[in-house]
Amino acid sequence: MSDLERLLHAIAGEAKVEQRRDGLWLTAPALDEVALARELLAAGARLSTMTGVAAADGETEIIYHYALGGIALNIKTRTRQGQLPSITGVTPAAAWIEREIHDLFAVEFTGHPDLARLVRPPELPVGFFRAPAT
Amino acid sequence: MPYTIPIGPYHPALEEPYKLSLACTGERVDGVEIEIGFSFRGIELLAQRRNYIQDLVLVERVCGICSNVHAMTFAMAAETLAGIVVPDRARYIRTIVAELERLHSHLLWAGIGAEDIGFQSLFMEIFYLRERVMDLLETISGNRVNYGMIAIGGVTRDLPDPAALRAPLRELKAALEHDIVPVFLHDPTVKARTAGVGVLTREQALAYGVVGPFARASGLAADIRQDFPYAAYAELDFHLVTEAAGDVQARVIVRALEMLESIRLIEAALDRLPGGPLRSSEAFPVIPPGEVTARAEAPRGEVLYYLAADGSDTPRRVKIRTPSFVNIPAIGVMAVGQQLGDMPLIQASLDPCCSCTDR
Repeated sequence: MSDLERLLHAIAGEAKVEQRRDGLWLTAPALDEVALARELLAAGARLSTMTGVAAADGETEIIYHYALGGIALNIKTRTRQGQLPSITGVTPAAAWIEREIHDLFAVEFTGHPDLARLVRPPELPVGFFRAPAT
Repeated sequence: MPYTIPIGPYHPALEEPYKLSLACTGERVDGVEIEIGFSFRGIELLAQRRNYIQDLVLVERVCGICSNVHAMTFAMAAETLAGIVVPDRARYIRTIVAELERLHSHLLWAGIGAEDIGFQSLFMEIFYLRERVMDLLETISGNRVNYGMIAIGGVTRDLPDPAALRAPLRELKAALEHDIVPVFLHDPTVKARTAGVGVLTREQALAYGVVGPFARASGLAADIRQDFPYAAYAELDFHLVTEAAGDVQARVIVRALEMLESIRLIEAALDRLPGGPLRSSEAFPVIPPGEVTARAEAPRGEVLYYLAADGSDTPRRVKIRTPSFVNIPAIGVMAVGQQLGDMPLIQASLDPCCSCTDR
């Protein structure tokens, strides 16, 4: 197991690390997001972005996409009661990324300094990307 | 006495619709608030309601300047998920079009940068050179922007006459080497306006996750063409350019040297252009269920696409992360303590694109 995989297991416990065609994938429903962000920033990894995907039960899957040199890291977790801790305090790059996911999917990032409207047109409600595709 | 100056969204420096509120004391900027979203079109949502072929056309219109790289990254995501192998000739053509796109984008930026510091004759000279690049793109694709060159599994059309690209490229290289790059590197006026202005330190660049020439000018040696090679870059001996100073001058130098590297890459790709098919198949691509990410180096930095497929002809989720989305927030740290008169140049130096940021 590489150093990186050891690091990931240390943060995410027994979560599965998969090597796919596009990089490493880790699925960890119970994840310490802030610890992850801190460890990866210390390791020199760059947060590319976070993706929100609406789940059928009203929660949202959140995927953290990192780049560490030539390694792509994708860490998937999901919101608990529509909430997730904000990593903006550790990684300023997350400030706008979390605001956008809040706008589009109504996720509350607890501890975010200012979840104000970013890309959402003011006449549309928070979470409007969740609407059914009909 | 402190006051606030609003700049934009009808923008004096770059015609990009975003708004800055600068809190100033005298001529000194104390703080910046940034507002975006004026060009929001919901492209991700639209992409999730159209099939993969329609999406190639749609995502090409995320941005007018880096249109090709969006279509290419979307196609790369679909190809990786489906295990589609792009034929060699198509990979090389993708590289040539991508580098021509980088050239016209950097030239546009350089011309506007020159105009921002009042160097009108340099602006004219650069835009004349840029027209040569637009002519090449038009002979290849029929368009100046939105080339329609990308298919899932390859490219849509061949280069009509690869040899005819050589002479214009040589002229462009000569003009860059003899006229433009020396001015950017050595002209005292340019240096006076750009050296020490709008510094972003390496630590700040890492924490803010900035990308592209903007990051490389702060000493970060990261470029998707090197770190996650795609198209034909792994075979063309790509060299990335970095500078350490992190000021506007460093960004000017990085982009100027990248233009020369782009020309070298195009010439190398033409030298080694393989024969063979342009697409893996003429049939409609079948994208199986799953999820995937794909990255490419747009002129402004890393573009990342996340694609989730459910096996139908319409993607379940398309997430588009553009370079300007992570670069623009850095204005908040770069501008503090700077002079109000330098603000147009400082913003221009990160080469913001609001179409990309807002989608």
